[in-house]
Amino acid sequence: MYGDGGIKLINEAKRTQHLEILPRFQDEMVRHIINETKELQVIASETSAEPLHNPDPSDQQQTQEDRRQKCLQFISKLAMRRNKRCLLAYERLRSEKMDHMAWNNIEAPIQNHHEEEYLREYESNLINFKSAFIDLDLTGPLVPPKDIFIEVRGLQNVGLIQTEYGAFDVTESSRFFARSTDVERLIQQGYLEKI
Amino acid sequence: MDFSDIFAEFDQSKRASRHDNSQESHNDLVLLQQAWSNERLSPEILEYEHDLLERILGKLKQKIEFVELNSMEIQSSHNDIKITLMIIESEIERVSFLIRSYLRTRLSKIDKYTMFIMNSEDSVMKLSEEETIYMDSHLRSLTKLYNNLFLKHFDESLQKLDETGGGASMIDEPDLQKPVFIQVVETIEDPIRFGDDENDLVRLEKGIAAEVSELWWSKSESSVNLFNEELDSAFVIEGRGAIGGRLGGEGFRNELIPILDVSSFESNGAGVDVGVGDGLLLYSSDGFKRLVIEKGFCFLLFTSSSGLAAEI
Repeated sequence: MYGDGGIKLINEAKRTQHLEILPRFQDEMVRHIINETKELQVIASETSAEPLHNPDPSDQQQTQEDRRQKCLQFISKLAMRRNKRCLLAYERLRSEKMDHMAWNNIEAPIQNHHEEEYLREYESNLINFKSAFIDLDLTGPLVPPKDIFIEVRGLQNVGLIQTEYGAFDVTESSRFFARSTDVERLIQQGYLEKI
Repeated sequence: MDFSDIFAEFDQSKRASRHDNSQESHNDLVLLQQAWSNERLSPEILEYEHDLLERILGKLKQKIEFVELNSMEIQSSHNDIKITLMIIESEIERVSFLIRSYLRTRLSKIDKYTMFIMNSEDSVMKLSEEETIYMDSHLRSLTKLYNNLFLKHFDESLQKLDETGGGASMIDEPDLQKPVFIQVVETIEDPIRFGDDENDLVRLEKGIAAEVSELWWSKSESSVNLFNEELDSAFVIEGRGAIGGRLGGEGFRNELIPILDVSSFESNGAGVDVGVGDGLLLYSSDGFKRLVIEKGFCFLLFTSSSGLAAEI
């Protein structure tokens, strides 16, 4: 039935909302909706192309037919717009997920090459914006800072890390006290863990 | 929050000459906090604080350089410098956080209301150069993505991204009806009209914190001008949906904010009693007694059917 694809896609988007990673692009569903919309476009243009009958109140049958045509056209246009909005909502959510990946430096493969292109463009857009504020780490935490030093534990063997306050040898389950700005990136990348 | 003062303290030889400087830094910090909280709590994007940001970023750079320079010599210099460095570093972190949060709040508003901002020249004027570039570039990438994935298969009439007809607008607009809390920084002598009613006049006195309902943001001409003109005099301190929702009902629509003086409240153990004392301004008639006040702090009370509830 018309519109079913849209609902499926929206449900997929809803599921995506709570996922950590970006799920696979629903190529098939999207193609199905595009085809459906194309069919509707044909219907809509066919019905509007037909000459409108002169309103003749005496001819009951013709008026009926006229109304039927108008209704068909109206419904198909509505369905087209709805499909478009479902597609947009789905992709908008995915683009927001990708923006999030760009902000948080999350590396994950993206299969769809249009999406990959978008992510690359957004990343360079971000780098461009950040370059105006070189002394500031715009990707840093959005909660107010409490301590400048935090205690961390190593999760992997990384080796020696140089900081302004000396060097740390990060090995698995080693613990040390470090400046939060120095180790923030390492925590994000999963090498360290905050205790 | 005042790191220049601390800075001045250890640097006693230059203390006198630093005084003005420190006062200025302090003001800038207060201004930054204000700009940040205004931006965080306003539904729409506000004007970018060009000069302030430039000054603050300049100072931040100085401090970072100072820390870098001194931490290298940490072994050779005397121990006092360590604690100073830590204090300065904490302050750098805090100021960085404020700027970061300020900028990212703006970016999130730009992302959310791109179409709305693009269509309104006034809004575009409020953005900084970098923000405008960011917005244009992001929209370009997004449009390209949509086109490549599906829009290009459709008729031209179905490709638009800024349609407003058909019962559902595609343009997200900031909710200007959202209630906000304000604190008055400078007294405004002339009473201000909030609604269409002649009686909806309120005089904003310094130190008063008040909750302003939808009318503050509403597009009625007088209120918009009011906000633009008086932004320096009043600033947003809090925006709270739940309470706003209760007040936004039919009964409150055209009523003024109930403001109570702090002198009129006494604590009586379990609950808080709101007494009606001197200096009381109470405009509400729907059972709400509200109390807000004290410089820098804001207590918010409202009566509920079960008694008095206090919220801080």
